[in-house]
Amino acid sequence: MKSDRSLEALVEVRFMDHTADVGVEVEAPSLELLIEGAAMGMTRLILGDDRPREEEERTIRAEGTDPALLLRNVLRELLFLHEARGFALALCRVEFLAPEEMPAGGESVLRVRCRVTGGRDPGPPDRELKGVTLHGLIAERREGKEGRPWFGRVIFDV
Amino acid sequence: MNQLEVERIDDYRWRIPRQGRMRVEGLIVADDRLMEDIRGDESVRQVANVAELPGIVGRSIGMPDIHWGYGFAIGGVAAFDPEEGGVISPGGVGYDINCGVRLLRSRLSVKDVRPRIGSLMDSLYATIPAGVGKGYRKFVLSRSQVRDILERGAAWAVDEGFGSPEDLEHIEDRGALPGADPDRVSARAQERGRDQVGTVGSGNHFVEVGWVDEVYDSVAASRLGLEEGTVTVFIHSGSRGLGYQVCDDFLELMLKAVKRYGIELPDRQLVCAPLKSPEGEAYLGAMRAAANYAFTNRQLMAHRVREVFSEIFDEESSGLGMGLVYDVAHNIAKFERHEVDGEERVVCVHRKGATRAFPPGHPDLGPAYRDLGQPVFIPGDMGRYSYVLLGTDGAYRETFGSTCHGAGRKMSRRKAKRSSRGRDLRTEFGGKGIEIRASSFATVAEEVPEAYKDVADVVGVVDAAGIGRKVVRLRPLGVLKG
Repeated sequence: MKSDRSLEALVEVRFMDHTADVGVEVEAPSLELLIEGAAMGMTRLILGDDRPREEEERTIRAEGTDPALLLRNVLRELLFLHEARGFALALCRVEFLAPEEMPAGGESVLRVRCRVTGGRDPGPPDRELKGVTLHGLIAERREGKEGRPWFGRVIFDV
Repeated sequence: MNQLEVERIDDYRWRIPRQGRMRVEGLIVADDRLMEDIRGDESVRQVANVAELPGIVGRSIGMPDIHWGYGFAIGGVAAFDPEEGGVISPGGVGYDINCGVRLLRSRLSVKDVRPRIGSLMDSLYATIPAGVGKGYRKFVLSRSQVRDILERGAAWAVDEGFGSPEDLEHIEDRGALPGADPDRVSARAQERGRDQVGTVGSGNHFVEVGWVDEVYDSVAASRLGLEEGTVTVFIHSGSRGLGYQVCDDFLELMLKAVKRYGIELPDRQLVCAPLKSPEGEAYLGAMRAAANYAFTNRQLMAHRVREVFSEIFDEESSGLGMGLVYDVAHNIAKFERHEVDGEERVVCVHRKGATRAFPPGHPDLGPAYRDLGQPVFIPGDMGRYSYVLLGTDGAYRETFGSTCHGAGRKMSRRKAKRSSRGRDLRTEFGGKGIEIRASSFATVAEEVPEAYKDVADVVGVVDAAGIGRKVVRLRPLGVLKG
C-alpha cells in the first residue's frame, strides 16, 4: 500500500475556490491513482492538516457507468463512513474489478474495491462536507498529457 | 451559448432573454452594484441553465443574494407545472433540505442581556451541540422515533414536551409538510438522523442572540413582538446528515431517471425526474420527510435556548416572553397556486436559498399572520446585522411568492480563511461587543463578515423592488457557530 507521501509524489492535488463551496482537482498517471488522490484531497478538506491514525482497515466497493461517476461514488462512500461512522481516512488503495456488462445491451459498469485505512477523527474537523456534487464533475484521460494524463475535478457542498 | 445576453429592465431587474435551449426567460433582481458581483461568478449562467429544464413556467429567477452554487444557483427560484411535464430536482432544493431560520423574541432588553452575554453564550455552547457531525451522546433517537419525526415534524417535539402547541401556529406549514413518506428515506439517512436532531451543524449555521436596533414599521414590529431594544434569538440550521443523505441518495436515482425520460441537461447536478413519475413522487415523499426532521431540529434547539435563558435569568421562558416569531424554510420545493400566463395553476416551486414571502391574505398563511403577511428572516453576516421583513403582493406576482434568504457570499471559503490568517477573531468580535463561541475557529475564519455582501444592500433591493418590506433590523450580541 502506498503511503500518503508516495501518493503525493505520483499525483498532483489542487484545492479549488468555488464561492460557497470547495473543490479538488487531481492529475494522476491512472484512474486508480486519480481516485486515491481525490480521496486524500477530500480528507484534507475535512480534516485540515490533521492526520488520523492508521488503526483500522475497511473495504468499500463502488461502481459507476463512467469514470466520473465511479470517482464520485467512491468519495460518497468515504464521506458516509466519515459522517455516519466517524471513520477518518488515512490511506486508500483502489483496485479495479472486472467490468460488469449490463443485460440487454445496457452500459458497462466500472467497479472498484478500495482498501481504506484510518481511524477516529484526530481532532475537530475543519469543515463539514454535505455532499459530493455532480456539478462540474470530471474524471477523464486527456490526450497529450505525459506522466499524468488523468484529470479529475470534484466540487463538494459545504 | 458562450456569452449570455442580459438586458436591464429597470433599476432592480435584469432579463436573460430566451437563448440557446432556454424554455423561458430568466429574471435577476439586483441593482447595478449587486449585479457587478453577480456577473463575477457563474450564477447568471446557472439561472439560464435552470430555464432549460422541462415544464418550467414563468421565469427562472435569481434573488439579489444569488451566488454560484452547484446546478441551481444559491438564491434561485423556479416553478414547474406537473401538467406540462414539469420536473422535480434534488439539486434545486439542495443537500440541506429545509435549511431555514427561526426567530424567537423576548421581553428582555439589550441592557439586561449585555452584561450576562458571556455566561449566556457559554451555557448555549454547553447545551446545544454545534460543529461538524456533532450530535448528542445521550439524546439518541430510536428508529421508531426517527420515523415519527419524519411523519409529524415539529408536532412530535411539542408532544414530547419540547415547546408549546402555540409554537406550531408560528411555523411554516405548522412544522410538518403533508405527504411525507418515511419509507422513501433510506436506512443510511435514518441512521444519520438518530443523534443529530437538536444540533446546529457547521458551515454558515448558527444560533445568534441579537437585539432589535432599528424599527421601520412599528405597527408590524409590534405585531411580531419585536419592540426596539428587545432581545431576540435566531436559529439557522436544517435537516443535518439525514437531509444530506436523502439528497445524495436521490441524485443517484435521478441520474437514471434522466436517461429513462430522455431529459437533456446542461449540468449533471440538475438531474431531475417528472413530478408525475415514480422517481419524482418518491423524492417528494422523502424530501418532505427530511423537511419535517429539519422543523423538529429547530424546534428542539429553540427549546434548549429557552431552557438556557430561563436558567441564566432565573425566570420561566414564558415570563421572559420567549415566543416564536416564525420559522421559515429556504431550501425546499412545494406545490403552490400561482398565476402563470394569465391562469391560476398548481406548480412546484423550487426555492434554493430563497424564502417564501406570501402577502397578506394568502390562504396558506396561518391565522397568526394571515392579515399581516408572512414574516421573512434575512440573516446577514455574523458581525453586522440581519433583517425581518414581510411578504408582499409584489413577490407573489413576480417571483412566485419568494424573496432572498441572506447576504450572499462574495468571497470563497479559502479566500476568507486566508484573509483571517493571523487575526484574533474572538478578540476582534469581542471589540464589537459580539461574543463568539465555536467548536472550531476554522469555521469562523471562513464566515468572517467580509466574506459576505452587505445584507443591507441586498435587503434594500428587495424592499425597493417590492418583493419584501422591511420591518426591523437586528444586531448580534453573541453567536454560536459550529
